[in-house]
Amino acid sequence: MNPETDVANLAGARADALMDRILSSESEVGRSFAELAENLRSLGRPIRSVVVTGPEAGVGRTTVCLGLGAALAAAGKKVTVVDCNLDRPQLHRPFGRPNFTGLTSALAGEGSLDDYGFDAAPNLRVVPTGPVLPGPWGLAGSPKLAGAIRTLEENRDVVLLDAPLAGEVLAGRALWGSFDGVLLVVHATRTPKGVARGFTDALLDARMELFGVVLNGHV
Amino acid sequence: MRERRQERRQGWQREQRDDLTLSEARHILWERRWLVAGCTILFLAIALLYIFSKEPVYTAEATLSVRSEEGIAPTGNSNEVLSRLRDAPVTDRLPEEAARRAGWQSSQSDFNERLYWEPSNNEEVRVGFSARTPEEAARVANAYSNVLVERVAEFEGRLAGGTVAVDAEVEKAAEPPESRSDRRVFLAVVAAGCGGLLVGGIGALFLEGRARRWSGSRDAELTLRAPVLGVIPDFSNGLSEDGGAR
Repeated sequence: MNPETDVANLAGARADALMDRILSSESEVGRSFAELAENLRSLGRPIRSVVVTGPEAGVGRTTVCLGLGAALAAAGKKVTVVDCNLDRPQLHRPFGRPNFTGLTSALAGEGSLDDYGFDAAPNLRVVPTGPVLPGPWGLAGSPKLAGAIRTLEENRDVVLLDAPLAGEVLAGRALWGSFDGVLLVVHATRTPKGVARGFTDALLDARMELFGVVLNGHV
Repeated sequence: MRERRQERRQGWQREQRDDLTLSEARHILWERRWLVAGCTILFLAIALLYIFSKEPVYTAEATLSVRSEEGIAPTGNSNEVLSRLRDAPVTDRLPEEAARRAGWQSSQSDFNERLYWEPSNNEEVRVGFSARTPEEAARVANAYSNVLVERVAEFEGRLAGGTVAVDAEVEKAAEPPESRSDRRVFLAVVAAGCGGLLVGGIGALFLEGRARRWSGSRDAELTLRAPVLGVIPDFSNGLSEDGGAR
């Protein structure tokens, strides 16, 4: 018995169970994400790229990205979720996958972002950050990222960007504001209301296209 | 692209966001209603304690008829007559005499503070006195009125300089009032109520800004003034336990 293999298997099993709940249209969580996807689609404008951010860490940006992506994929859309958190990669973890290739690989090399991801479900592709080098923002803040996402949009219906915190999105609004719009995730038991209101106001003041808010972890 | 976005910005995105709207304030106050109610009750309790710790105040009034003799004083100008009456020898040491006659036990300055007289119409003067009991208030007001009338009669109506002559008589004697006349009771209750609501409201606003519990989409929409596109239920033991949640 190899303990490391056991841990990996356990993490993988839990990730599978979690993804099952998110992806299942029968579960309450799955229905909630389906409703979110429907509300997003009913905004009455073509939405190809969505920046998913939050006022603080731990609000569930990655969860919302995966759940929304799964719901859109279930509705027949070809969706790619891209982990843009080069300072704290997360997207590969629920799947128990190594973070050997991903966004940084695509930006450093050639080919589409999709080539550096993996299929999490039918129509749902996930692109981790890839190896993170020192000084990541020099890379992520470059025009290359926006270009890579634009290229990705040509082959996919929706690209969901698991973006950094709202403060960093505001600081880099030239980049993040170039996408179709922003979803702000707040957690129902963790996010201070004043902080969330402050970032909502700041995003609107910065003339970023705020689609709306996702209230995560509601009890 | 920016210009196109600007054009299609929806109403909620364009609205002024600095001011607290009525619906927001109502929502916050309702969410924190127990705090607001608690503050109001506390302030009212303090006000009532203050009121009941103070002695009650009853005010009785007597009405005097004060007429100037025709041709000597400006007829019908009771303010003028009253003003001259105050300065005349007629009223010299009048309060002391009235206090003695009414059996007033406290200090003369206290007596003077509780006494007032003022014109009520062209030919009438009201003499009022505030005391701890209704009977005492009426007794002192009547004593003062009677002493004043006696003094005027004693001086044969001649006031300062002997140029004005008046005739005074008690038109209506003071009667013990049936209820407390202390307006401070009412004011204290109103002030306490308003103060409690204000402090509770400010506290509610302060706490609401720091609160971390969102009751639902309505709460989120009113707090953020932005549409809530989705409410995801808590599914604990999710990504966070294996480090996947953000």
